[in-house]
Amino acid sequence: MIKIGLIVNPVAGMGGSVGLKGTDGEMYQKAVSLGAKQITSIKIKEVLSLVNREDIEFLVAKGKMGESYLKEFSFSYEVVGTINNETKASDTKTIAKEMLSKGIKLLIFVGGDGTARDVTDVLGTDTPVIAIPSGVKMFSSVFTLSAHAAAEMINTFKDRFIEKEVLDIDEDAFRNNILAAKLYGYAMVPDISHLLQGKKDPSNVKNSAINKKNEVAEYIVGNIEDDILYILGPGTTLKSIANKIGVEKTLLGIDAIYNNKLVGTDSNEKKLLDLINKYKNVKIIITPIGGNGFIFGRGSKQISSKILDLVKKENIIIVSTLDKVGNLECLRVDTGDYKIDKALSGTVNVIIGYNEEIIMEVKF
Amino acid sequence: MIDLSSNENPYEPSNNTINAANKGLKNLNRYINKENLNKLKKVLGNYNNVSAERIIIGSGTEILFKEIIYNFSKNRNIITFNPSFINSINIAKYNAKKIIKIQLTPPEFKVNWESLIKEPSLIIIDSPNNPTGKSLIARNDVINLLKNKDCLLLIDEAYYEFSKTTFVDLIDEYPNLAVSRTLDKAYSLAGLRISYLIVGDVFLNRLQQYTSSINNSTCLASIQAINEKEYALNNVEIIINERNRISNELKKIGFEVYDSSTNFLLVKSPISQLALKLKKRNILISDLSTNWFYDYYRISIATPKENDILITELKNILNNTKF
Repeated sequence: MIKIGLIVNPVAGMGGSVGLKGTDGEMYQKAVSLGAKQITSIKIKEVLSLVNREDIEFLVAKGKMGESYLKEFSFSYEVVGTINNETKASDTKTIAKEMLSKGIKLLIFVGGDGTARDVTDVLGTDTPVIAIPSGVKMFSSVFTLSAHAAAEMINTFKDRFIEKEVLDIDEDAFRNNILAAKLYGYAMVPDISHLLQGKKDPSNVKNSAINKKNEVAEYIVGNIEDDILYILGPGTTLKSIANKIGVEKTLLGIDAIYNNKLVGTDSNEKKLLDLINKYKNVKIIITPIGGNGFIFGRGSKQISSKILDLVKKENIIIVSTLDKVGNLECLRVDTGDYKIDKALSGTVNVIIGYNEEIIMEVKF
Repeated sequence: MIDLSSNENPYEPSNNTINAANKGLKNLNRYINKENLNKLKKVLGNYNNVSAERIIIGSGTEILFKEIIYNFSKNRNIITFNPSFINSINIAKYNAKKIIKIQLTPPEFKVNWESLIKEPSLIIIDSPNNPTGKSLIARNDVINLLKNKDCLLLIDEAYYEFSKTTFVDLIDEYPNLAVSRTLDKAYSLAGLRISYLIVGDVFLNRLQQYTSSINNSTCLASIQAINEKEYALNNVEIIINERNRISNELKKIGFEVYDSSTNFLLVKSPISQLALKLKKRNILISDLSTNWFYDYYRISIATPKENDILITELKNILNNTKF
């Protein structure tokens, strides 16, 4: 039997639906007070339901950090370590260390960049991981693209592993509109590379990318129409558009402008629905997440399927720079609503410069 | 340093060709001899079985593309691939209606040509394509595009001598077709930057006044190189054999290698940061990750000895890589 560790960060991803940029530190309590619900349990159960490998024995963290979900299935498992009511980063590290000492060959974890960082601290590149994305920020290329992809890795991993980057974003800087992604470390993952997300390349590091971003902004601003509400997604490309218009946009929030005036800042789903109801004619300008190509469903959860259903595909403008989309096979959507994902799929033209577009496929 | 990053021919031109270039150097005080230029057009016309009038000669393919974009981009979309090594397209940004790039995605690099032309367009594609190494457009798709009078088609056949496939025979029938060729690759004249267009009537009407900027040395060397084409075509066969050998060697050590009709190979590497690792070992290859996919590299085929060094170094890197 092959020993596999399983650690779930139960609070990862809770900040997304309530407009927070993470759940590290004190932000967890804020997320709970805003009514955020746990989402990791859904993710891990979905993955486990797809695992058909019989030669594995799980070493699993106690309670909501793993055991609670695993016991619903028929896998053989042993519980490792203890946890408190409120789980912390140190719990992940302590339990991972204990699992290592008990001889795990691979560790599956569910969480975001913060969890990836904690796991990397303990495992380094000696023990491979399978990372199931469930955070608010999942920029590291270590994360699998979907539950199916994660299950495929668990079902097929053997002895070929490849190195992937773990990136981290400073959450305090993140909330203060500074996108400070940095290489934190490396992790080894099963070599099924086509199933993995690429690295989130901070797109503001190259001069040429900055020039391209300004070109995109110049083109968009030159084509902005009166009496239309523009919902602006997160990211530096959108921020440079706002700068050119002359309004102050949040870097990672969803903002809205109408006749060149800011009418919504860091808006959640409810605020956006109110704005759509008020202004009627609406367009969304969005940029894909570098490395994985998601336009909706990761990083901009406030633009929900309900909003996308109202706005429609033909009113979505996708902007990017070539260095960010050029390494993508396709763009992706994962709104949680099959009907909306399907409606958004197909061919789209992404604006990548002044008068310059690239034809991409949107998949879900 | 072994340079496998620029798709150059590893073999020098013949002695006769070098002598012809030297002969031109003796006339550095003179502008190009028009008679020699006309002779080169005639030689290239014969080589391609087309009228010499359809030949337009320039100092490198980019210069000729600029001329076409300058003359034909107004009120048209310009359509090309991503990635593309055709840098001159950028000049169309403020003249063309739009620049539209088609993202090429492995492993098939399929293009839906039928749905592409919705407005008047100038399509600029290379066949075989750089960096995929294969032709991405079938003959019937070329003909269908050419039947649309709103469409102008410019096909770069820089690697024609390696692929032995051409669309030049369609030039007389379709006035909206132009084909570009070069002596940089098969004919080992990259240092002289000598390229030419074979153009249909739509292009010819506007470009026949084009003044070629090549010099006497380039002109005389080009005439000589084409006149003894066996020398170049023999080198081409050696390179093709080497390409097939290296392709197999790379596959054996875990590379994903794409079929090629050129003097280079597109590979997906099992080694991360491969270009950097090879550079430290004095080998340059082309890293395609800046505007395309991670772990994809283009490797030019060199001499057997240089190719062997590449394979040895790759094995060394693999042995030093964990897992």
